[in-house]
Amino acid sequence: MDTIDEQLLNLLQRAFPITEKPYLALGKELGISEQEALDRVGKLRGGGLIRSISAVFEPSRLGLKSALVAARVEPDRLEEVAQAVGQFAEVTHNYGRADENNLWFTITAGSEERLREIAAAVEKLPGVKQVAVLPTLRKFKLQVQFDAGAGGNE
Amino acid sequence: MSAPEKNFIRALETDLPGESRPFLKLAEQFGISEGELLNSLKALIADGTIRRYGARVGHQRVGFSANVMVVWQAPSEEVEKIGQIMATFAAVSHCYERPTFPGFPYNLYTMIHGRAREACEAVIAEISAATGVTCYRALWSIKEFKKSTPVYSELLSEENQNP
Repeated sequence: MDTIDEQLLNLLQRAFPITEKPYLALGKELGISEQEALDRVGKLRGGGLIRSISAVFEPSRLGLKSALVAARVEPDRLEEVAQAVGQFAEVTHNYGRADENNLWFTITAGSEERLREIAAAVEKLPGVKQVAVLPTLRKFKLQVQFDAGAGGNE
Repeated sequence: MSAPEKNFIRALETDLPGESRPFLKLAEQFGISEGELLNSLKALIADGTIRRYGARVGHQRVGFSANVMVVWQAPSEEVEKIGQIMATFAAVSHCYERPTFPGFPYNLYTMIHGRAREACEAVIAEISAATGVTCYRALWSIKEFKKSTPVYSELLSEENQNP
């Protein structure tokens, strides 16, 4: 990855041109041809750096209901509970964490009822001792783009 | 939400084809015009329905290999001030206030990213010093069971209304 790739990756995340020929616009910005911009994006995709190029929606604006869920699971049943939780299409992220609350997942559902229904179903799984549904009360930051060329701490 | 609205959402959630006029290709696939698609994309960004349009990257591969969820016990009257301070740290990608629950008195949640575990630990110490919050817990992930790009158009029920 050279410096043009790094600049391209940053532009692709932050300032993708909403225009008929976006790769021409990106090329102009970086001083390369449309074809080179297309080729470079293709390589970044192939290398797994870019997972997709698409819209990131604000789920609440679509009427969807989201929450983080903390579950306390008997350690020897964590794997099977996690597999069952992952079966729900509404569960998008699901992590085992080093804590007595050892399973953390996010639910994004079509309604509050559906969200509660999924949480209740998880609570009934064998080995699940406690489930806490944690909706966002205030949002101070949501920024998931990363500088390709910069360090993580500055 | 109407069927045409859902169709636009579905189109805009679809990975953009790698070609000279990718929006034209996408529009054709969903039976709409390129102009309609571009205009609706701009309108949805302007009104906040779309947070951003662009590349989703695989963080592990860009060098941000370590991440940790850190939960903080902030005095309730200081949550606003402390949340704002935490948000200024570049290594913090998410900072939310959430309810506490029995046995878990933490009300601020941050996701912290770094190139290594030590870098994350240094950020945690800096945040603690900057905010004065000394009661916190770092929950390191031990296993990623699922990480998927949500397909919201699949989750929308017919009754969903824009608020």
